[in-house]
Amino acid sequence: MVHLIKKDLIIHKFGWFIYFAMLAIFVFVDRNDTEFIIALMSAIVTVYVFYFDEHANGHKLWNALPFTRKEFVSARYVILIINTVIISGAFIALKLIIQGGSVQLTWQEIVGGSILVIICSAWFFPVLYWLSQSNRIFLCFVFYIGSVVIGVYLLSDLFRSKTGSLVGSPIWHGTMLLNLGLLAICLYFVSWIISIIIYNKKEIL
Amino acid sequence: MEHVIELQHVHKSFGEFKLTDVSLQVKKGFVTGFIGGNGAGKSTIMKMILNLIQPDSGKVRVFGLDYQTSEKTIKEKIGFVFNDSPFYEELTLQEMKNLIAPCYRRWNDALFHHYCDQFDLPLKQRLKSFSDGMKMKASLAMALSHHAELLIMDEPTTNLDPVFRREFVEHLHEVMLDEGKTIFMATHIMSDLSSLADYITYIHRGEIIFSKGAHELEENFAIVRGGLELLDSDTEQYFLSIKRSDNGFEALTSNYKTVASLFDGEAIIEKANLEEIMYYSRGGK
Amino acid sequence: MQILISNSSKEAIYQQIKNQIKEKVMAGELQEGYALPSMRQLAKDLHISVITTKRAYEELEKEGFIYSIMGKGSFIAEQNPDIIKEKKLATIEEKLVEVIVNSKELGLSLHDIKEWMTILYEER
Repeated sequence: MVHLIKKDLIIHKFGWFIYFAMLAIFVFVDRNDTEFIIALMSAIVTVYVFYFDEHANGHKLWNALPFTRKEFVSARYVILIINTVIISGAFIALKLIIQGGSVQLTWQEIVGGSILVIICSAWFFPVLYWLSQSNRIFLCFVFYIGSVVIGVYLLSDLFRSKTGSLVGSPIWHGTMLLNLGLLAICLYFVSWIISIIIYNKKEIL
Repeated sequence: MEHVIELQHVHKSFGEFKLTDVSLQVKKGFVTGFIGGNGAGKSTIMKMILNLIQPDSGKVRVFGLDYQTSEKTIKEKIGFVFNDSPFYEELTLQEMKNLIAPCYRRWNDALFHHYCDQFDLPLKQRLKSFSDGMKMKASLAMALSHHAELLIMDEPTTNLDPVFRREFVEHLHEVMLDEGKTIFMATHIMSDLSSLADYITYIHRGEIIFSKGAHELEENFAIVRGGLELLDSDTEQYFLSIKRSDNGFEALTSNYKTVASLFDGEAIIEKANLEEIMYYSRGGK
Repeated sequence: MQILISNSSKEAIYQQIKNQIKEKVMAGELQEGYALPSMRQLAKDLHISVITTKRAYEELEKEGFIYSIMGKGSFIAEQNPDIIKEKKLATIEEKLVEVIVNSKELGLSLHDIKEWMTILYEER
């Protein structure tokens, strides 16, 4: 399974430079919604992996190679976490380089972004496996990215209604972060199991 | 273990398509040709053997093992070639190899380069720019480079021109020098099989019509042509199918010797080739 | 060792291989102990299936022309001179019968055949 994870990192090839360049632009224009950037970029990197295998019918190839379907699905659930960590790391690094010492990094925002992309992925991964090898999946990619964008605004609305604060971006406080984090982890594991069940029954064309 | 692949009473239906009580065996050390028209069920069965599709009922065993318990062990020992290249087109052959090689415990890089040399395959070129023939050879090179004991091939030569096809079959002859290798090859191009296949399995509309040794087919199957007066309920029993016209009848028999002595000199009796056997096996009397 | 097969012949391919090896043995072209190519090599060289050469070798073995050692291959067996002579005589007889049948069809008498035969025999 380690190889399946490695392969999902390798196939981006020079794509990684593009992702880092996009991050750099975000930092450079000094947008203040860190959680939005983290969530969006992690989702984009991950959706590309799905797209790649859908486009070239990688399902047939990887399932004919000595792997089980469980491994194939699990590798994707692991890769999302890895992608999020890479994006967060790169974001922090870029922020330090571009904005120098004057940066005020709030770890809550980064964790918040990660939680957001995990919740969205928990909803969408099983659907992606269910619709794999059909054209409808491409629409689903759009919805997936869309859900991340909308999620950011929903979260800030949620935050505003709870705190009455008028600031655009939610300033995360401990309990809320913890609760959301636990919810995300639970959803993610349930989603993981559902995806394995769905994919095990899938007929590979 | 005499049989590398064994299907027992396999049923599968999806939509209009149905596989009915399919049982078949593939002998170790030989080439088994799997023939049948488009949509007869060849690809579905090939996919079942690779566990890409599971049967509704019945058993699929490969190397005597079950997919439920030994999926990885089985697939380690299989080399597959599909009629459409399964590789990522944007990558070069070298890059694709780097993705595939670590999947197999017994991958042999020297062997892979040997095949690339032999097949004239450019490692540094994108797979997108490969011709159909080259893609097929690339698939074959991948399939042969991890000491696979079983080669599963689904219509490998369909998109190839006749010269490439011959060359491809020539390589398979070479593979079979090793008695530890088994080939199961679905095709509807009969000329590929006439020189290569030891056994032939014929499927039609989701049912296995026959599974026989190639020499058995050659010796026992014949096309008989003669006048209609030769046909009566007695003689008709020797034929699998009969076509009548004003000029006489044309029929397929699987009983060459009996028919030859029965119609001695009165009818024309010729050996039937695979295509004729396929064509006449479908029709009734 | 050269074997030439014809795909359009009425004779089955395994039969062609068998007969050609037999002929070579009887003509003394292949001597005792000569190592035949492996079944798989021969199948590859002749572009035929393995099972065809397997069958040819099995029958040759049954008839005592060759013997096989597991893992080493197949070899020409020792030929008893009496048996070879007998086999050759059988072939001659077969051909003579053919001559007689053909001659009868044309209405040639035994005397005609003998006379013809004498002339041909002395010419050689």
